[in-house]
Amino acid sequence: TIETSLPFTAHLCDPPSRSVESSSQELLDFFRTMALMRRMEIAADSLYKAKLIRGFCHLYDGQEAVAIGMEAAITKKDAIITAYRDHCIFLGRGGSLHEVFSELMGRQAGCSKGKGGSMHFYKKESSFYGGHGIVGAQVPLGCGIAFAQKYNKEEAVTFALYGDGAANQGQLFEALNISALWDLPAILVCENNHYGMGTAEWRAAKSPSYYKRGDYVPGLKVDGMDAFAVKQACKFAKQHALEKGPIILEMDTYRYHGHSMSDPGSTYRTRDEISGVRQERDPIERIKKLVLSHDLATEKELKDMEKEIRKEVDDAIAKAKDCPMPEPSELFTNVYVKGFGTESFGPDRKEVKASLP
Amino acid sequence: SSGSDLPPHQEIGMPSLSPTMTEGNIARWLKKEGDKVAPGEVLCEVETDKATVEMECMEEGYLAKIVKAEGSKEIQVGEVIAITVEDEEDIGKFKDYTPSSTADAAPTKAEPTPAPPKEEKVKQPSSPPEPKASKPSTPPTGDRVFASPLARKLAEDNNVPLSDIEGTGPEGRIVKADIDEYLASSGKGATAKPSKSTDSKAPALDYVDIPHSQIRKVTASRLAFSKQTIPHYYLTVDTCVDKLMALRSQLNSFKEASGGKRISVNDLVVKAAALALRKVPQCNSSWTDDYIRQFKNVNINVAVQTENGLYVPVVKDADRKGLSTIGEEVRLLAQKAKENSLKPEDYEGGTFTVSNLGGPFGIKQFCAVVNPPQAAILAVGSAEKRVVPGNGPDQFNFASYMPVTLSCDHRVVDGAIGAEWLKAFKGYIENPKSMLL
Repeated sequence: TIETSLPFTAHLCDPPSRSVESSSQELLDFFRTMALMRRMEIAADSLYKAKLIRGFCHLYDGQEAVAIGMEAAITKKDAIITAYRDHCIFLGRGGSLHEVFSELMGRQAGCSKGKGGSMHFYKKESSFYGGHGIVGAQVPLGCGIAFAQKYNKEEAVTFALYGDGAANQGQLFEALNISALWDLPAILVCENNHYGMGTAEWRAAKSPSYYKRGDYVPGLKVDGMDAFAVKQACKFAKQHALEKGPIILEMDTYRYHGHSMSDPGSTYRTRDEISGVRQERDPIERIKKLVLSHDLATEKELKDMEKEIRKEVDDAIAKAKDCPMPEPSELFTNVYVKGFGTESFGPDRKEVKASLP
Repeated sequence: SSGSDLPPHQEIGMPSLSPTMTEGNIARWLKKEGDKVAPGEVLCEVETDKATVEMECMEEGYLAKIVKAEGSKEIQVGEVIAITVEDEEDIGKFKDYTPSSTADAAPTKAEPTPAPPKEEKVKQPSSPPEPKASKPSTPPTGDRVFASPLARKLAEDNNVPLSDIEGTGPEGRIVKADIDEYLASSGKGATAKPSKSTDSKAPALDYVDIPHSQIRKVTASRLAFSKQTIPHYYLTVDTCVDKLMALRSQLNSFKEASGGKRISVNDLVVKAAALALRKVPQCNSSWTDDYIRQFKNVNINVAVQTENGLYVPVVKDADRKGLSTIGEEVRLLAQKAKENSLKPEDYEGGTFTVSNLGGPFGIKQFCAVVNPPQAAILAVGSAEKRVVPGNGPDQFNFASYMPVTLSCDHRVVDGAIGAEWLKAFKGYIENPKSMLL
């Protein structure tokens, strides 16, 4: 049993208990997976700076506790849908490093066949409905998934993740309204990392209490740097959503990187702030301390584990580099639903063209 | 080169910090060899094609070797700039390290395995293999044939292979006229090669790139800042310098008698400008967002061109100094500027600037750029003898006139105030003895 470090703050509901059940295996798993996520994102940063990843790329380092804690509380039947900061959620849902790096570098073996890139990771077989490029648009989609779950009596819930920037969008409130009317098992998770694209939270949001934004919908503010607090909150929210309908979770977290690769991330906040969070609130360090204080592993063993992870990531990158790019004809597939007799072609109708079966 | 005998290390490549960056310069290293580094700490500052960006460290460890020293220029993206190691003891082993010549962009490769760079550079999906022999000078970009949409359509309709046609449009693009010409020529007979073998490559220009010196950078940025933010306007007036010249030769004869240095016209101009600023202090001011600061000191900068660049040393309290002192100081400062030995106190704190291209260069008249944060600058042209109509018919006199132009910051100095100042200045120049009052 582990005590969460900060109490939950609740809106229109009773907060769950601060003591969380865990096991030594779970602690070690948390450490390993989070370290893997961190290493993966740092490798992606290097690949981007070496121009092997092109286009958009949004990194998750700092926010790992949200992905891992949420995953620990739910099953693969429960759906997750998120925005473009999606690499680690995909990994948490059971995606492989090889799929991640192949997709990032636009290779055939990627989870979206190398055609989606950083923002468009999917894993339907474990109910991960994707990274979405359009800010906030994943939330109405998530509520739709929740509708399907309720309609099919699946006894599962949908977690729709969005950032503090997207929280100010109108479509969230529209989707929330209909979810509340129909008591859909939708859980809106605001990953509040305190900065939108180049802008601090306080410049963009009149009320930064995102858990209260639902007004008539209950909410819970969670320490998003504490994997166990996230786990407890998600367990609570799932129960709530199945019984009473939608709920909002605000995860107070932090991103170490800039918003995307074109944002150095140091113009609207101080480096001292970032290094302060790294030292005091880092989600991996927190788990590491727990592991060490419960004598589940020695410092040396954890270091070795990190080395092993580094090798794993490097191998996955090397493997992904060997993988070919998609065929040119792939340009025209997965655009329309099959069987409607449509035809796709490029500017030169003779050279590249594909008729859909 | 990186032999396999080296301990595990990370090669840090030049990062691509902007979407269009292909090479970068290292402006400054913030870490030294041997320093401990932690994730999120700034390793160095990199000048990209757009800005100077701080490069963060991603790994925990030690900076073992700086491969590209501070000030290195035009480093290709991916080229190794530094080595980090995890264990402190390994730092020493990289003393004589030189990066393996793999220019392939794959930094942070943990293992120094000299595996052949397997990764294929992003291969453009190639269009169907056309015989390339027949296109002598298609622009360099790979297999893609550039053509306007209209030309493509026309070519498609007439079954013309685009790869046989040489484009004459922008950057070798195939345009409708090329297709028309091809159709016409192939219609007339055989495969008459397009007659004009337009060499798409212009004769190479002969040039030399001069790197920016520090002073050039400062001059460029301050003048650009001035012209872009200060609303300039210009006032020109002719000043009769006959009396001034007479006074000067008188004074110089005294000076020669006593063995002193001669007084120049510019010294007199500085003195007159200083006194005019006393009279019209509005011109002796600086604009700030909240207020206009009017200075009680009159410190006049004098523009001096040297081999190294443009310097503007300052003569402090010029209104209270005698001509010999001003002359002596200007000479000394100019000397220091030429020797590149000006100290900050020699050029800081000016409230007004005088630039003289008339005396030394014979420039008739010109408009100077205000030297921020000052509000005005005086541009002095060359004195010139003119014929002046006299009182009666067929009467005329000779007189020397020196045109001066005052450039003002309109936020601080309104037109009439600038004119007021010029009137005062002209008064002192035309009646130089009034400077004694």
